[in-house]
Amino acid sequence: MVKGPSKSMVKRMLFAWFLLLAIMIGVIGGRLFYLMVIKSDFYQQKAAQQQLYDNEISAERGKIYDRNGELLATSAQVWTVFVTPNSFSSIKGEEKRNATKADIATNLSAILELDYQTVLDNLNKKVSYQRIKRNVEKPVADKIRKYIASSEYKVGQFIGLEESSKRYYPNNTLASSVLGFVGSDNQGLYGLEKKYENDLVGVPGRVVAAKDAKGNDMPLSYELEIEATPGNSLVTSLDTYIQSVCEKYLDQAVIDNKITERGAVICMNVNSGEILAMAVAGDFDPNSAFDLSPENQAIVDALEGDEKTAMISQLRNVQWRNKAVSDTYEPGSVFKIVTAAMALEEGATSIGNHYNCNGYIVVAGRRYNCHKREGHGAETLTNAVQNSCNPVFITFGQQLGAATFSKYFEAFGLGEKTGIDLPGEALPTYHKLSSMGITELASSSFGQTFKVTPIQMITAISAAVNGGYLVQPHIVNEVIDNDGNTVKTVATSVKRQVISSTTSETIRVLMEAVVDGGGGKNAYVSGYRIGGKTGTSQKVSEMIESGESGLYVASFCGVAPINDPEIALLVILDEPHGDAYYGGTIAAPVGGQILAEILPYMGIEPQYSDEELSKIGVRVPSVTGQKVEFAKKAITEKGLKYEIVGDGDTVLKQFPASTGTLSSGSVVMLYTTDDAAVKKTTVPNFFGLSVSDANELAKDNDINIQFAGTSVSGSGVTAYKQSVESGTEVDVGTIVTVYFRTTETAE
Amino acid sequence: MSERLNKSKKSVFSEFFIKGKMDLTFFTLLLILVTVGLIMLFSASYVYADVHKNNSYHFIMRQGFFAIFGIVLMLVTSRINYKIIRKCAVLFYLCMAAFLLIMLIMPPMMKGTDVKRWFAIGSFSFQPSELGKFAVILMLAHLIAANQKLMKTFKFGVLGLGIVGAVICILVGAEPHLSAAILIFLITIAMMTVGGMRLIYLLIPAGAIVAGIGVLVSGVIGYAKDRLDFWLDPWASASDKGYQTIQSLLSVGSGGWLGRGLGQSRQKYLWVPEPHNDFIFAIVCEELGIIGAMLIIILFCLLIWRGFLIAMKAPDKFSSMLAFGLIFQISIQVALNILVVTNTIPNTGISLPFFSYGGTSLVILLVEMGIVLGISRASNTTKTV
Repeated sequence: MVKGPSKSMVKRMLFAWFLLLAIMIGVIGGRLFYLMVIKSDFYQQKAAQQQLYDNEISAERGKIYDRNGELLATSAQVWTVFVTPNSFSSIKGEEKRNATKADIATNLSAILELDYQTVLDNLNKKVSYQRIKRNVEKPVADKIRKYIASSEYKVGQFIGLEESSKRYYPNNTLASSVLGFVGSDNQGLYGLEKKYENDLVGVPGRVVAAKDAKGNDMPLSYELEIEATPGNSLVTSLDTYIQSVCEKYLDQAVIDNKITERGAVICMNVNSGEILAMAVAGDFDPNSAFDLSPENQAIVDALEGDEKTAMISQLRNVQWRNKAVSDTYEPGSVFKIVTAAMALEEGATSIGNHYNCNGYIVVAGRRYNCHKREGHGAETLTNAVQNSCNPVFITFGQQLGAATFSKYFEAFGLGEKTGIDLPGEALPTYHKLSSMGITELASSSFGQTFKVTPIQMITAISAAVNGGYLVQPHIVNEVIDNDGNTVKTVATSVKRQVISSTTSETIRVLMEAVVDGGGGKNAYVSGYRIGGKTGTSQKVSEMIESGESGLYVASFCGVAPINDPEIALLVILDEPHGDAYYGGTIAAPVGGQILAEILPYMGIEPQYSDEELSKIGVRVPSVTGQKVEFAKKAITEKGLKYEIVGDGDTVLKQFPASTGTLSSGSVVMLYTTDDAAVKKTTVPNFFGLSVSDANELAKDNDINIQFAGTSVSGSGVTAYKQSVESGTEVDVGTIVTVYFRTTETAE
Repeated sequence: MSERLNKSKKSVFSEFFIKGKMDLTFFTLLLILVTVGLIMLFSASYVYADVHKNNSYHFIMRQGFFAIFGIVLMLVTSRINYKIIRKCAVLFYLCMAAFLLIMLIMPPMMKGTDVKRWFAIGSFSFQPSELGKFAVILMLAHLIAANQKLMKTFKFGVLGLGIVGAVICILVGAEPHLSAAILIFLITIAMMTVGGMRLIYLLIPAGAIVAGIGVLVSGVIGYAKDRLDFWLDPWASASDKGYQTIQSLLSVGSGGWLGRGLGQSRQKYLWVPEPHNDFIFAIVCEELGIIGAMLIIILFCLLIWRGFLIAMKAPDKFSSMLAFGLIFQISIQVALNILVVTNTIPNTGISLPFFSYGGTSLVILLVEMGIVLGISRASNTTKTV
């Protein structure tokens, strides 16, 4: 008997060994080869799908600058606060878990000004990521960080802060209609933000990192980060100062004249097409674009339900709408510049031509009245433009014929969009040649029965005065990248020459005559040569539609300096309900006010006539702390007068201070003793007074008057506004600005 | 007097202990596998340990301790004369059967589960089936060696030995602990076959396997049917019952040729549930690639080969069958575990020897290896004498 295992046992053991080897190497080895080599890519990809999370890093949105590099729109760093509700499962014990959640809910709701229950509900959700609040600014984010660091519960693993950016408009409402605004994902919704979305948006970056099954980062080094490329920035042609001046006077005019359908002002470089300012009254603050103005909010609050929702959306659309580009209007008499240009170009008239106005003209059996019923009588072409005499311009239209009229109409760019780089430009509605009869031609000749956008109108006027070139209006001058390198430059683009430079020169002469002695007198700015044309158009279709009467658009288009034009300015006041509605009465003064401030700013030197010089204010010399004798001399030298209060030998106080300007002959109060009571006086009412009467009244009341508004020498010029209300108690010598305008208008 | 005493002491000593050289190759392979197993356990478990035990070293510290303790016990056991062990075979077998029966009658000892496969006192717990396997191997080796001539008979060779295996197999299966039952079943068949059973009788267990598969497919045993279903299509329930299998496959498949590198598994970041237990080999594959995985499989094959050599060279039939049974147990566990990890067969819940976490299991395993080493010592003694 064999002591050890039998031969058969050994044999069978060997067989078992081979069988096991076959399973180990053959089956298992084969299976592993299949899974790990052949299907490796498939499983690696599947594994990556669950392990890797791919987070987008938002690219910083490009900035928007004005022409001088001042910021109009920028992006500020903000944070999104989120929680990771699923990770609460790592806390052992129901009680401790709830205590942690309560602590987080209490603190987050307090710091973020949210409802406690809402935050708690979010913490109880069965999700791995829950956003709590977006656009949290740095101080608040810091508070949250402080809380995380100081909490007795380890809350850091449940709360996170994600960096993102928020659009920020440092000048608030300034140029908001042009800039537009962005939505909650920083996407451009209106204005330049929308038009230049592709330039501004940049390329988002990515972070690829590994997560464990609970959504936490794996502490491994295979995080991949592709940096975001910031968006490009826009350098616009806007000038913050000019824009603010335009907005200031437009807003005031909208209030003064009870404008109900908003107003717009465009200031454009006539040679390059650059828009220096584009103001729309009743716009919005792009920092909170969805908020309504207090007045509109009151309207909305009075409504309920669907009506309220509809009204909110309607009012928002109105406040966002860029009136200068997206709305059309009947330009009225301002258009007569275009009619005059085509008549001159075609030789239908010339500067010396004489006309006679009977107060009406009959065309194809239809009678068209002049706004001056008794007629202008005999007049030159210049007079006809100054008087804005309808029959003369109807005559031009008829002389040119529909074909020629239409050719020029379209050549001036009035039949098509200007192509300005803003979204939502409206198309004009006008009589095409095929549908233009004699009556349509007649009404079109003086700017009625067709509608264009303000931007079209100012572009056409620019062509009429700049030598005849129709330029492409634009707002963005340059697109620059994050390092300031130029990506794209917008050069001046001339579409075509519409009229000859000779005709253009004649137009300039005619327009200057309008401001110097015609319907545009109220736009006169002493020291400057300004041309212009006013317009008052009836809103015929709107009146028929609404049944209301007396709906007008008052407008003024000015050009300065008219001898060598640089800028055109178009002021539109839609539906005035004040004491006047004529463009020459209410729009032209706005033009004058704006030009008076922006022309010196633009470095255009004023050149005064002798008469003007006498009325120009002089700077009050600083004499405080000087000997009385010296002060007397300094003030007299400036052509000013003085009054001494007290018996000291040193001037302790002067009024007005050295920052004011006074017209010559005004009085400066000099106080020489400390205890000398400041003399008081009451501001009188200057309304309706002529310049000399106002001057007299000011002297009687110890008030220093400063003249503003139209050429104060004109006839029929009266005061319509004053800077300090009548009846106000003020120091003797206080400067009160009194605004004058002529009430004689020619429409 | 003193010499006599000395002599009797010596004979008692030689009866209980063996001198002789142990099989150093087998011992070295064992140490390498235990060491590699510990390294991989640390790598696979530290994320899970950090999250669930707040201590990355929780599992490795315990397993390390048990490994050292187990190796010491193994070396001690290798000195014990297997004949002593043989004398305990019947008693041990009957005790285990009784113990398993009591386990079945008593309420579950492990908190939070209704299965009775765990014996637990305080924080200490182990699976009695581990010892059940040993009892069957020991009993079969004893009976086969004692009744060589009856091996070819149906009564003893098939029925008698079959009942020995079946009793424990059924008791363990009733816990229920299907994987252990399957192991005992396969070990019994293997030992009967090697022991000299007529090969024709293999048709009976073959028939039983077919019938068993039929029962599983029919769905009588609910949890087994489920496992079968998501074995066939794990993606259908990827987030639910197939989750573990899917995560294992993703882990294995991510390995490629060379793997992500030691410690670089991503799947161990809580994706693979309990990566330190039955699915540790998935992490091995992910970190070491197919090259590393196959090297470990080859290490196992060498160990098994060396173990079989010990069995073939054993001094008698009992020690030969005992060594064979123990080595076969390890090899079948390795094979089944990796087949499960690669989803080649349905998930059964068999741990990977020397790799999977489990202190008692490791100690029992090492003690069993100590017995094999003891047998190698015995054969070396007989040869030299």
